[in-house]
Amino acid sequence: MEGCRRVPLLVSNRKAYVWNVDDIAVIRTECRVCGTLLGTLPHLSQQNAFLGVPLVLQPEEAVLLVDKELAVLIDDPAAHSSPELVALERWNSEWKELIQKQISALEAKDARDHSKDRSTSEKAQQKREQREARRAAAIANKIDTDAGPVAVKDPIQAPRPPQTVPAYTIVVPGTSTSFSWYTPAPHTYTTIQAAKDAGIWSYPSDLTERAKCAVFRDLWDKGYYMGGGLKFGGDYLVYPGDPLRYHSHFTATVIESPNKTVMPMEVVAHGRLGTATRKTHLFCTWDEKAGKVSYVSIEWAGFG
Amino acid sequence: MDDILELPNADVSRLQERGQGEGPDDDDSSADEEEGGLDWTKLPLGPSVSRPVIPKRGDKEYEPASGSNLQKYVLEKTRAAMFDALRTERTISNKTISYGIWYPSIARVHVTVARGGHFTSIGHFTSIGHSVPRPTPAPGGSQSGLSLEKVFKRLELLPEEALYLVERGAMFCWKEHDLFAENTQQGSSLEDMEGSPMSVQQAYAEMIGREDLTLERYQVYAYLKRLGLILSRITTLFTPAFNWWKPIRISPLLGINMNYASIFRALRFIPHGHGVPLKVKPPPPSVEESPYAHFFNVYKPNTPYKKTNPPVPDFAISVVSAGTTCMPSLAELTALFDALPEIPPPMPRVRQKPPANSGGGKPQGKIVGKNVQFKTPGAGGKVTTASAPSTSISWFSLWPFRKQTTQQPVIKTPERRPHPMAAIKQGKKIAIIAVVDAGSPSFFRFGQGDFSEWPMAG
Repeated sequence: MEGCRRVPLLVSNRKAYVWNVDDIAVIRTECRVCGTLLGTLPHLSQQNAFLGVPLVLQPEEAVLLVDKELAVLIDDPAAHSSPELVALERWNSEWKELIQKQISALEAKDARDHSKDRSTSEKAQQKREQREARRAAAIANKIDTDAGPVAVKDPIQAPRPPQTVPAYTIVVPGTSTSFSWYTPAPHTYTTIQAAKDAGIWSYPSDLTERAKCAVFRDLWDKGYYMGGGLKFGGDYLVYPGDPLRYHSHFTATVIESPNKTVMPMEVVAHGRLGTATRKTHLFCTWDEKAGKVSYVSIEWAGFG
Repeated sequence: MDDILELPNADVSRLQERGQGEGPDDDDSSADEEEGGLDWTKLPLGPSVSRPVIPKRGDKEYEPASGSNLQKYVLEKTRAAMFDALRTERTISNKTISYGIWYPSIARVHVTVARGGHFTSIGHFTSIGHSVPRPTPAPGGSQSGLSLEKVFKRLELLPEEALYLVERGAMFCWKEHDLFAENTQQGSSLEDMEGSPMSVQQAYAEMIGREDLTLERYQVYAYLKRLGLILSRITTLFTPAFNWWKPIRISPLLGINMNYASIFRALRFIPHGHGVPLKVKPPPPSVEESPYAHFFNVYKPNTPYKKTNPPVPDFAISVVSAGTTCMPSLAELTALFDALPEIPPPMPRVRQKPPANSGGGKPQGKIVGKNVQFKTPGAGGKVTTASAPSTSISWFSLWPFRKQTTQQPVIKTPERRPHPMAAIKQGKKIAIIAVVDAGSPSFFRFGQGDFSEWPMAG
C-alpha cells in the first residue's frame, strides 16, 4: 500500500473532494475510507438514493489519509490556472474535431441506410426534418414564454438556425484533468501542517477535532470502516467491513477528554437508542496526554 | 455466506439483521434504509435506459467472515457495479444543452442559451434580481451586435443554480476570460467559444463559497431539486396573511356571551403565548449571522410557481452543518419562528361517521361527509340545507332516527373544529432545519405551538 501513488484530494472551501473514479476505488478498496458521494448521477438525475461524483471526505478521513501518507492535498481553485490563447485554440480544435467525427459517423450511417432502402429513408428523412423544425419552434416558443424575450434573442442562438445543425452529443467534462492548463503539481501539499500553513485547510483546530481524528484513526487501525452517525445518534457508525455489504455493529460517540462528565441521561438514551437500532453504543474517550483512546460500550442488559 | 453460519453468535444476529429489511415494522425498515443498504449491482447503466428504475435495496450481511470467497466475490461485484455507475459521462445533445458564462467577479452565470424546462423556476433577470453592478460591455465573443437593453436585462443564475445545471449535465459553462472580454475578433480559432471551458470539478471549486453558498447549502438545494421541489433564496420573508387562528378563538363568543371559554379567558392574568418577549435575553448581537437563519424558500412541485412573481413559499428552510453547529438556542428558535407565518390548524378528517351511525353502512357516512363540507363555522346548518337541499333530503330519509337527527347538522358544527392534540402537535409555525452530517442531509422539523389557546378541561 505504501508503494502506491498517493491519491490527490482536491481541496476547496476546506472540503476534500475526489473526482477521479479510479481514485475513489483506491480509497475505498485499499485505504478502507468511504467518504460520501454527493453529486447527481447524470443518467438518473431525479433521485437521491444513488449519487455520483464528487466524493467528499469527512475531515477526519482526509486527515487520516494524509497522515498515513496515502494521499496529498491539492489547492484546487489555484490549480485551475487561466489558460493561454494557444491552449484554448488547441482545446477548441480538438472539441470541433470530436464533433466533426460524430457528425461524419452519423452521415456515414445515414448513407448506409440510404442505400439500403431509398424510398423509405427519404420519407423518414423528410419526416425527421419536419419533426426537428417543429421541435425547434416549440423550444423557441417555450423559451419565449418561460424565460422572457431576452434569452431567445441572444446572439448565440440567432445565427444558428437549428434545422441546419446536425445533432451530435456534447460531453460536459467532469474532471479538469483533460484541460492542459490544469496544473495540480505546484499546489500539492503532502502534510496537513503544510496545507494549514498555506491556508487551505484547518482541521483539526481544537481539542474536540483532535479527539475525533484520534478516535477515527484508532478505529481505522483496528480494521473498521466508519460512516457518519448522526441518524443513529452518534459521531460515527462503525462497520466490520465495507458498508456496501455489511451492517454496522457500533454507534460511536467521541468524548474529548477523560475528565469530561457523561450524564446518566446520556447513558440511558444511548443504551435505549442502541437497542432500538440493534447496535451497541461506544463511548470513545481520547486521552491526549497519554495519546490513547479507550472504549466503553453500552448495551441494554434486559434483566427482568 | 455459509461460513458465517458456523459462528455461534453470528447466526442469530445475522438473522435478526436480515429480518430488519423485510419486517413490516416501519421503524426497522427505515433504520435499515438510513444505513444505506444500497445495491449498486441492480442499478441500470448507461444513457440507453429510457425509463430507469431505482432498484430495491439489497441484503447486507452481519460481518465479513475470514476466508469466505463468496463474500469476497459479492463485495467485488457490488463495488465494480458502483464504480461503473460512477463512470457515466454527462452526455447531452447539442439541441438541448444550455450555455452560460461564469463571472467570478459578480458570482453569477450569465445564461447565453437557455433550453429546457429548468428555466421556468431557475434564474432571474438582472433588472429584477440583485443590484450588483454589471460590466457594461457584455462579452459577446464573435457576436458584437448587442444593444444596451439586452446587456442590462439578461438571464442570470446564482452559483447553486448554475452548479446544479452543470452537475446534471444540462448546461455547459464557460469561464469569463480576458481573451473574450476585449470584444474583438479572435479569428476562427476560438469560434463558438465564450470563455475558457469549465469542468464540473472546476464549477464546484469556484462556485461554492460565493454568495453565502456553502457545500451544505448546495447539497440541500440539489437534494430537494432532485426530488422535484422548487427552491429560491430567501429575499423577502412571508407577508402576514389571513390569520387562521383568530376566527376559532372568537367564534364561541359570537353565539353565547357567557361560556367556560370566556370565563376562563377573563380569569387568566399571567402573561402567556409567544407574543410575550423571552425572559432569556439573547446574547449580544454577534457580528455573524446565526447559522439557523432561513436560507431557502421551498415550494412543493405542484405549487404554481412564477419566477417573476413567486407565490408565498410552502416552507422556509435553514441549513446547518452537524460538525460545526450546536443545537439551536431558545433565542435562535424564537427568531426563526418570528419570521414565519402561522399555518392553519389541522382539520379533522371530513369522513367521520358519528357514533350513532355505526349500523348505517357506508352510503350514509359519505353523505354526512358531504354535508359537513358545506358548513362554515358560525353559520350552522342553514348553509347546508340552502346550498344542497337534495343531499340533505336524501340524508334525512336514510337516517334511522329522524326526530333526533334534525338537530344533527347544528350539533355537528363544533366537530369541524380542530382537535386540540393534533393542533398542538403540529404547532402554529413550522421551521424546517436541514442538517448535513458527513455529507448526507437530514431534515428536522421544529413546531411552535401554544397550549394556552386550547381549553384543556370542561
